[in-house]
Amino acid sequence: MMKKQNRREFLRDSIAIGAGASVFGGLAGAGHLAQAADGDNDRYYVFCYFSGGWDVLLSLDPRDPAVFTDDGIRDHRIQPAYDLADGSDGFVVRPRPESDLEFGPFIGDLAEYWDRMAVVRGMSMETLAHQVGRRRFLTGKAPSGLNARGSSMGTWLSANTPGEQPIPQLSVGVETYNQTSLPSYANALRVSDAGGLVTMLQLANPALSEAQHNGVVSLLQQEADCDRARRSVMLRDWSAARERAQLVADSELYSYFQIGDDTEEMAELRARYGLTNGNQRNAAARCAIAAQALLKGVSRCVSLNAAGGLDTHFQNWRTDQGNRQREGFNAITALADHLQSVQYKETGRSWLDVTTIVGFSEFSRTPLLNQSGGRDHHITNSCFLLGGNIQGNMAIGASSDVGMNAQTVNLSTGRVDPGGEIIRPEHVLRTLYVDAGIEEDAADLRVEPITALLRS
Amino acid sequence: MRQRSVMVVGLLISVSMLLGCEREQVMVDPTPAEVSEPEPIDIGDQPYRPRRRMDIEQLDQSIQRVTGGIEWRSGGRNGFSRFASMLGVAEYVERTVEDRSVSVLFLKFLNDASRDVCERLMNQEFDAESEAEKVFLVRASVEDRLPEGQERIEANLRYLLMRFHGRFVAEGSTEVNPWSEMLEQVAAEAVAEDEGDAEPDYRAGWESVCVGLINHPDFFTY
Repeated sequence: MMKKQNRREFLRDSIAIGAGASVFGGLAGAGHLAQAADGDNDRYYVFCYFSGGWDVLLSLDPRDPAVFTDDGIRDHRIQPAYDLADGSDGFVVRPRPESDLEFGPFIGDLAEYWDRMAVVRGMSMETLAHQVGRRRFLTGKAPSGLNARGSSMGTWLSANTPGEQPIPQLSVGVETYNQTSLPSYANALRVSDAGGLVTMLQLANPALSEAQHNGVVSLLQQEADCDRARRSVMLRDWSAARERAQLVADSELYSYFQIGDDTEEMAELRARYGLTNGNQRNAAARCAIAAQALLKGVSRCVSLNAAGGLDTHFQNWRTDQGNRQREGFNAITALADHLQSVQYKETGRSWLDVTTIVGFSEFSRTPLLNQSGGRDHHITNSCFLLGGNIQGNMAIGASSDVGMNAQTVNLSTGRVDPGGEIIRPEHVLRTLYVDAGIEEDAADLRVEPITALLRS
Repeated sequence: MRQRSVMVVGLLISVSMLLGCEREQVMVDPTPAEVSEPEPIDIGDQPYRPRRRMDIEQLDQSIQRVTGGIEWRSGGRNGFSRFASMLGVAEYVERTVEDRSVSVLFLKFLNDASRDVCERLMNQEFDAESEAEKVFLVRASVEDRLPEGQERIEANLRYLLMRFHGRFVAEGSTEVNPWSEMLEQVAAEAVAEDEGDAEPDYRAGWESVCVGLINHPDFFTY
């Protein structure tokens, strides 16, 4: 016998199957939803930020210690030092013989996704300042001083597909920007952890009685329907946001993020991400939030902090750098596994097929250890893209074998080419925007996309 | 010597020019302009300037102002301070410009704030020992009921629209109708027990009016 659904359960489930907008009828993009249900161009995003500046030698841009020996440091100016990092087996990882991608010893389980992943190497960040590098990658534009200039990628991509999700952009501990007058619905809802998200989504006490609630909703709806409200841009924004806020409140979305709850669904989620009740603020918990937000139809873009404490100038490079990266990569792998295991809207494809995961950091670390046994800031960086329409088993560009400097790359082939151009973060962002259907350079990035990054 | 001569000649020329200017100056009698009573300009009902949302500090202060000093409390502290970063308040480290968009999040927290503040305001109003303590039920009393007390209740609603929205509503205007209808409907549906008898719950009704006033765009925009 089927259980009868109450109104809240119905609303919540409606969102999960992507029909939340049409339930309320007035949401912009309700028509778009039907198109999206089986559209080949559906795109979702997870942006994973590794905070502090990662050492790409340990993960995304490795060097063979047998070739880059300490004896040759004067010539090649690169010191893998894998044997000095705690938790390293000292070897470069080649996941399969047929893999073109090699990884450093701290890539963790993420190496299993070599055939769904592209790594961009030899990317110039043009800065050694944390905030500048971070904001450069987030917006694709060099900041003005320390101030971000332009909107972040999650905002652009959320603005491109209005109306489908109640919280189009969710940010778990990562800054986001809307500085190009993109619609306010694309602004990120920013939280630090699952608890913060529940606080945000759950109506605080005291609650109104049903009669009071209905009375207030009806009164405000009259205001939204009046001519004055229809003619004002702000009041139209208010009206749309009000309906979405109502949807969020009525559908009890917060229950998706109560990770510690004693329910079968949450127990399964905790097991999948290796979460214990006492530790739900780590990278794995943030990835679990991202998965819930995407799979339950709450968000289109999620930004999360995958690792922190990577600014290892001293002995902490030996103890922290590799292990913290690996923890982040393993959490992202759990997320990819989760998305891979769920079919996307009865299309025969998985959620990973429509979700692009991007891993980035503000810059990398010097290829030589400093006097303190750590590594300082290095301008040449890497990033990875996984899932979605990303060309798997693909290395885009390369850092040089002397000092790991940026090299020019042919954007069509992804290979180092003297006639190509130096890859910068804006190339990666432009590629994502083009893949999302934003053909014009609306973000004013002034670069061409890296077509070799995309499958089609 | 020659330099001094040049200076003397230059000085004489300047003096003569000044004298010349004075002689040629024309005095004009000022003609008084006729300023008639201006015709009223019909601006229609189109908004003629973009409305702006209050920032969080303005909103916090406004709520305290209209409620006679009641602030939104959450987790033992001011709710707007507690959720400042989530509400996009500039902390001048990562964010230098406050987010003033009317977002889902803003409306959610505004709703939370209004329910908290309005419940305590109703406690204060309905428990007040003197009329002087009241800021909400000023033109009507807690005993007034519709339809008998319609005149006083509508007078109070007009007063509230002025207090919360800065909107003057003339006596007899239909602008109060949505508010009085909500008050009556909520009171009728949220029946309160009064010594065993079921009575319309006007406290619940007035609380809804309060919540509606704060969540209305005329309150948080200008």
